[in-house]
Amino acid sequence: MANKKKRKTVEYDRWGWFFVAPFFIIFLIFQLWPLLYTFGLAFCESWTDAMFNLEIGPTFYGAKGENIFSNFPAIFVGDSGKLFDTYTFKAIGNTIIMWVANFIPQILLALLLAVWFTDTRVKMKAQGAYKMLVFMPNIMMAATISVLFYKLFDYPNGPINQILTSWGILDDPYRFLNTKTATRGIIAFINFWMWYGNTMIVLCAGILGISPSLFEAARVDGASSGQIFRSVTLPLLRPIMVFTLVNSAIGGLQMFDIPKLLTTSGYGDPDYTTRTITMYIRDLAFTGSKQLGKAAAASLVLFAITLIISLTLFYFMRDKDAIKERKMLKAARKGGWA
Amino acid sequence: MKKKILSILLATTMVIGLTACGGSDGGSTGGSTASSGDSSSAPAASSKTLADGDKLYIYSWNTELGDRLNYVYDAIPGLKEKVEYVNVGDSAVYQEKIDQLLQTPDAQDYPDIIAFEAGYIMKYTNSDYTLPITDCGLTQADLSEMYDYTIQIATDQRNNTIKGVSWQSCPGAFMYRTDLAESILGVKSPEEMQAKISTWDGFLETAREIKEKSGDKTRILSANGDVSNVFNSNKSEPWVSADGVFHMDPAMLEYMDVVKALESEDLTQKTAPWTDAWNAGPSTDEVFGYFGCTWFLHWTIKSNCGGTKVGEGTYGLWNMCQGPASYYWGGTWLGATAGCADPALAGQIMKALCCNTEIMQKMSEETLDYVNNKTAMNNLSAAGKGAYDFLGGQDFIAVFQPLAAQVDVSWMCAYDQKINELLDTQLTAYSLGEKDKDTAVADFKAAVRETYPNLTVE
Repeated sequence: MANKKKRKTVEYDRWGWFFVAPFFIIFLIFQLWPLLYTFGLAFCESWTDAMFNLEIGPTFYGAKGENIFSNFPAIFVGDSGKLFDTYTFKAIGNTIIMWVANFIPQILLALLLAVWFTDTRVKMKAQGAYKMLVFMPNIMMAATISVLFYKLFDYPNGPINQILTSWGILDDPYRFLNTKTATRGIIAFINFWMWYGNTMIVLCAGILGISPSLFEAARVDGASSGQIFRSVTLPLLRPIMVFTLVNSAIGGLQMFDIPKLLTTSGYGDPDYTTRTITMYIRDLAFTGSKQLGKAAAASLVLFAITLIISLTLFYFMRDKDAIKERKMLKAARKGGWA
Repeated sequence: MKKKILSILLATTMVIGLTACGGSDGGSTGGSTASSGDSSSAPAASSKTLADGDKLYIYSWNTELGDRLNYVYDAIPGLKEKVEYVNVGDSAVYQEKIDQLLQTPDAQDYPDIIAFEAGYIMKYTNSDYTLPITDCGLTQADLSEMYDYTIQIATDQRNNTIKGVSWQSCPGAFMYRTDLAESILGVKSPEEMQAKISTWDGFLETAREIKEKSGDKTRILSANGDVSNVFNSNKSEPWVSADGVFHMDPAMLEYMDVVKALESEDLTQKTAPWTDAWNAGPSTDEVFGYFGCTWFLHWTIKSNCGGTKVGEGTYGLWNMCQGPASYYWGGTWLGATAGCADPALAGQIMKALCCNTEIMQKMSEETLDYVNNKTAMNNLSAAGKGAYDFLGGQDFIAVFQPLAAQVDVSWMCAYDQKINELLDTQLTAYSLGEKDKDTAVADFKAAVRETYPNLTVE
C-alpha cells in the first residue's frame, strides 16, 4: 500500500525486462536446455540397434550399476590400445590443422588491409568499394561456396584440372578431392577467403579506436610506418586481436558446413582426413548405431578442448606490461608511504 | 524488484538443470513403452479409418512414386483428395526425416505410408514401426504375381510377416554400345558379348582390349564404382548374420581387386557415379557400357544418350546382356506405418499399385517400367511390346525376365547401405594406392566396429 502511494512517476524499468525476456526464454529452451541435456546424455547408454531399428536407452549408467563414464573410454583409447588413437581425436586433429592453416594467412592479410585502410597518411580512395568486395564472400552461404569449389576441383574434367592440363602445368588431371593435403588446403582456403574480410573489419574498428594523437606524436618524432605499426598499432590492438583469435578458434573448432559439403560422401573424404569433430559427432549421433550417448560424450570432450584452447590463448595474449605495472604499484603502495 | 526477477530466473535455470538429468531417463522410458504399446495395439489399429478432412500422408524422396500414384488415382475415384504426397526431395536425408517423423504418431504429418529403398528397407520392416500387409487387407493371393525376391526383402526377419510391397522389379544387366562393340571388338550379338564378359577375368580382359584397340579413346566403364552393385548382390552371406557377427565376404575381396585393377590399369574414365562427367558418358564414344537395371535403362542411359529417336545421339545403338553375374539394383517398396490413420485405405493403394495386373500392365506399357507382376510382363512380351527401338529392337522384357526370376537376396541385411559406404571409403584409398589391401581391410573393419559397436567384428 505504502509502496503504491509513493509511486508518482511513470515506471519504465519493467519494460526493459519485457524486452529482454524473449531472448532469455528462447535461450533457456533452445540453448541452455539442450546443453544440460547433452551433459546428462553423456552419462547415459543411448544407441539404436540397427538390425531391428530398436532404440536402446537413454538410461543412466549409474542406475544400471555400471560405470557412469562408460561412454568415455572409447573416445580416448582406440582399438590399438594407444591413447588418443581414436576417430574422435583424429577428427579433432583434422579440425585444428585446417583451422590453423586458415587462420595464419587470414590474420596476416586482414592486419595488412586494416592498416592500409586506416592509415591517415595513405588515405586510400574508394575504401567503401574495397571493403565491400573483401567482405562479399562472407555474405554468401557456405553451402554455395562448397558446392562451387567441389565443381571447380572436380576430377577429371573440372575447370581447374582443365586449366592446369591445358597450360601444361599438369600432365594428367589431379585428384584434388581425393588427396589429403589438397582437400584440407581447399577447405582452409575457403575458410580464409570467407572470413578475412570479417576479421579486417573488426581490426579496422580496433585501429580506429586508438587515439590518433598517438600516431601523430609518433610521426612527429620521426617514426617510420614499420615502427609505428610495431610499437603503436600492434600493442594497442592486443585486446581486439585476442577477441579475434578466440572467436576464430571457437568458430574453427565448430567447422562443419564446408568440409561436410565439399566432399562426395560427406564423411570427410579422403579416408576421414577432413572429417571435423562436429561432423564426427553428427555421424555418431545420426548414422549407423546412432550412438547418442557417445556423441554427447564426444561433445563434452570438444567443450573441454575449446575451453582449454581459449584459456591458453587468453593466458599467452594477456597484457604483460599492464600486469607488471599493477604489481609494481601494489608493491610501491605496500612498501612506501601508506 | 530487479533482484526478485533475477532470483526467479536463476531458480528456474537451476530447476531446469536438475530436471534435465532426471528427465532424460523418464522421458525416454515413456517413449519406448509408447512405441512397444503401438505394436501390440497394431491389429486393433486396422479398424481405424480416416477422419473427414484428414489426409493420408505418403512419403518418398523423389517424384517417381508420386507419378505412379496417378494410375491409382485414375482407378479409385475420390482417392486423390484423400492423399497428401510428400516428396522429401533428397534421398540422403530421407531416413533421418522419416526416423524423426515416426517418433511423433500424433502429428498431423505423421507418415501413413512410407517408401523404402532396398538399401535400408530391412531397418523398417524388422521393426515395430511398420504394419504387416495382412493388417491392411492384403492376402497371400495378392502377392502371387510378384517376383519372390521382392517379397523376401520386405519380410520381417523376426517372425516372417510381410510388411511391404513393390510395384517394380529391378534385375540388372550390362548395357553396352553395339556400334563400338562391332568396331572395336568385332562383336555382333549380345550372346557373343556375354561370352566375352561372363567372368570377371573375361571382363577385365575385354576392358584391356577395348582400351588398346580403341587407341585409348574408349573405356569399358565410366566409373570404377559402376561394378559395386554387381558385387554387392553376389555376396555368399550378408554383411551381418542374424546373431550380430560381421562377415567379410570373399566376393568383397574380389571386388576390391577388380576395382584396383580398373584404377591402376586405367581401364575406366575414372569419373564418379552420378556426376556430370559420368552422366555425359552415354552421349559420347568414350564409354563402352554401364551396369544398369530396369529403371537405369530409361532414366539414366536413355535420358543421357543425346537424342530422343533413332539416329540422334546414341539412341538405338545399345544392347543388353547379363554380364559377369546376375544382380539387382534398387527398387522402391511401400509399407504402412504402425500409426497409419487408415490401414484399409493404405492397403487399397498398395493393392492397386503393386498387385493389380491391369493397372500394372498399363503402367509398364506407358512408362516402360519393369513392373513386379509376372503376368503383366508376359502379356507385354507376348504382345511384342518389349521390342525397344532404343535397344535397336532388342526385347528388353525378354532379357530381364529370366534375370528377375534368378535374383537372390539372401545376402541382404539391415546394415547394407552404411557398411557399403564404409567399404567405399577404404576401397578408394586402396585403389589409389594410399594403402595396401590388408590395411584397407583392417581400417574397414575398424570403421564398422566404430559405427556399430554392438557387432562382433573379427
